Amino acid sequence: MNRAFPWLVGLVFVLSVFVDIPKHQFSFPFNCPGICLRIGDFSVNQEIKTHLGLDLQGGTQLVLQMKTEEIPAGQSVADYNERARKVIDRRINGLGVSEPVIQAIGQDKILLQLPGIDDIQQANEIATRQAKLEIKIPDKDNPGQYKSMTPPLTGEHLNPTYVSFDNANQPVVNFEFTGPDSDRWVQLSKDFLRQPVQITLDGTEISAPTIDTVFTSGKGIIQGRFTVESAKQLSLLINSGALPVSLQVIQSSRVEPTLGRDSVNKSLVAGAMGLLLVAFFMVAYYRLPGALAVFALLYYTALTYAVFRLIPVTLTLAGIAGFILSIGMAVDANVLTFERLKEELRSGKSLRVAVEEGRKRAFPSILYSNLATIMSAAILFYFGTGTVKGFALTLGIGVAVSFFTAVVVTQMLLHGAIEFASLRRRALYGVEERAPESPRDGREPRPAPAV
Amino acid sequence: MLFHFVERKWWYFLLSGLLIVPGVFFLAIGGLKPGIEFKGGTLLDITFATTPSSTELHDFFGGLGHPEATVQGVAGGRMEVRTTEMLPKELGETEAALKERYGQDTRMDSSVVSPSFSAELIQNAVKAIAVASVLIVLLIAWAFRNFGWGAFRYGLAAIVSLLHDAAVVLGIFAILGYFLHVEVDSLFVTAVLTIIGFSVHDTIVVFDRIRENLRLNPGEALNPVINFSIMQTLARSVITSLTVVFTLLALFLFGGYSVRNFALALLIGIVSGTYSSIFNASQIVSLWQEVEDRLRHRALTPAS
Repeated sequence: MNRAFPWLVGLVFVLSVFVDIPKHQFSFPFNCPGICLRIGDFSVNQEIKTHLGLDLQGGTQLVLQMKTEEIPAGQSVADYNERARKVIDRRINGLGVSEPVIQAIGQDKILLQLPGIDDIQQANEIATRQAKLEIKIPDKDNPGQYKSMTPPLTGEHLNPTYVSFDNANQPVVNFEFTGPDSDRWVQLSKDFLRQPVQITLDGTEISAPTIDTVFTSGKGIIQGRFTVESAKQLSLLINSGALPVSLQVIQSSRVEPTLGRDSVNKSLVAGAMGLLLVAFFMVAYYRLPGALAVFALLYYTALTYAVFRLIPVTLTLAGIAGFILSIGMAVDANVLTFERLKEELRSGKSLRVAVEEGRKRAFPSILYSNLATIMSAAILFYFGTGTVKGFALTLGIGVAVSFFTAVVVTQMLLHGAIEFASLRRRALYGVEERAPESPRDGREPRPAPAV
Repeated sequence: MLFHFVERKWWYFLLSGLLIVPGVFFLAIGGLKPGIEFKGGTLLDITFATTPSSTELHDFFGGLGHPEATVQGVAGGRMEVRTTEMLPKELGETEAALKERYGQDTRMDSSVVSPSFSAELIQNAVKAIAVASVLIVLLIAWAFRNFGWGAFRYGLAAIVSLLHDAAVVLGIFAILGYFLHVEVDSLFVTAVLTIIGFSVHDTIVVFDRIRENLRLNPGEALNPVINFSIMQTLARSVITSLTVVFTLLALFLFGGYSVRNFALALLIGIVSGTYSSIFNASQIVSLWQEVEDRLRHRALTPAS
């Protein structure tokens, strides 16, 4: 092994621990919440933090189904999906939700996660309100009724609306038509002077003002007995644009923040207990190599958590379960190596040779094991949704990292340890002081000899 | 110490049978209960300041227009209520009604899946299982590519033992579902797939040793070689499972209610996987050989 290598491994550990420490407790030497780098034109400015899933921090999740039958034949469903997501995204931005998730599931579904919003009705409103603004004109055939213009005059071409106050100090929403719609709006004021027109949102009347002058521009106001809040909400809905297609909630879940926090604490306890049990067992059974494996396990935990924070991986309950499970699996590579090491020692090899042989001969099995697990994690990640994806991702990352720590770090520590004469006693490796002749009766085949 | 792993194979097969047969029976009578993810509907997880009785809560939901609601008490004085699908508006009304009736600090977590979506989730699960099966068979084929013409029997034995593990987990959850209304969700499917991966790997480690020892001892009979190979890999198999069992046990005991069944499924599967890789997989290979020998023997000495 290269002389610089142990230093490199040590450096990775120190960096991992640095990344793991919450930055509000420890921000020296950087005056920024994460990684801030600038090399020439290349700059990184990433905040490092643990991203908790909805089930851990509380919030609302909705899965929305597009009504694909509303989409004209020949139009791309995926296209409508993207447009709908953009509309929802704009609405959420207006609300100031931190770290929302808006993803397509397949072509005709949308996953929406709103951390911190625990009013499911509000979430539903944001996600499914069509927000189609339309101006309707008096219907001559049915007095008192209104009808759509041909073609309908909708809120599709509007400048951004805003809230102001009218003479009576009531909040109103200001809008302005652009392009040809602006001319139609002016024309409408000529055609229906001194008549009421109806302003509707999703077919429901908001107000029906009477036109008392001919307009000179596309501007207008909506008065509708608003509160400041509801006027702002309406303005936001109109500005975000109408959903291009109706959406329907097909899955919803809501988690109380307090219950989420409770789950985080329980998972932490479970993780610590799991780590402790494994550590205790490894030391009791494998002695010195076991103790080194525990170091490697701590290294593993620090590095994996750092990877989660850097990528970043959103941790969910199932994800943490995958992480904890991977702690148990991470030891497998060590067990395979140490069992081989014992065998080599018993067959009379010197410690140095046995360590080297143990590593070499255990390696194919370790590779198989990790590949098999990473493969199943990949399948689960690809086909799974939500919880399953979280589990697959953390399990996969965990196993990949453990491949590094169990093979490289443990070996390095082991090679380092046998440099010390006092650490070379065979008993420290769980093997009797003198190698006994391997017991044989006539029926037992020769064991695979160490080459 | 010499343990008779191969000679006593029928005892080990019997033990597996005793585990699997009741499970299959309860599977057949529909013991495996699908959760709302696969069935559609609403699951409410309600935390009360003072927990009402389940009949009272059932009547309360009847009053809200959900006489079909099933109520089940869970850890920490919480109640799980299952009803048909509720839309967001109804959820809001339900929560308001709960707070009015049982106090403002009543907390309600909800999870709703519409039946149309659950059908798709089932489809996804089936797809994942199908793809995993194909890949597992490919992995087995690759792992045994050097086994020569005997590769097929090893591959088959590995597949039989992974089916064994899947059957044990499914069977036990069918029994749990039948008696304790334990439901299965997509995390359960995940657990089964994880178990399958683990089981195959365990089996491959043992078979690898058998191959190595066969190569080093040409002319040796198969059964003693198998026995010895299992002895050699025994410590590794048991210890690896033990460390995983430790972490899963921690998860099961301390990890909180929602991952408990998941941890349990994994726990059962890992233990079963270790058992089948030690006591079933190689024994199937041995059985194959014995049957083959007997057939050949019969062919050589035609019955007079």
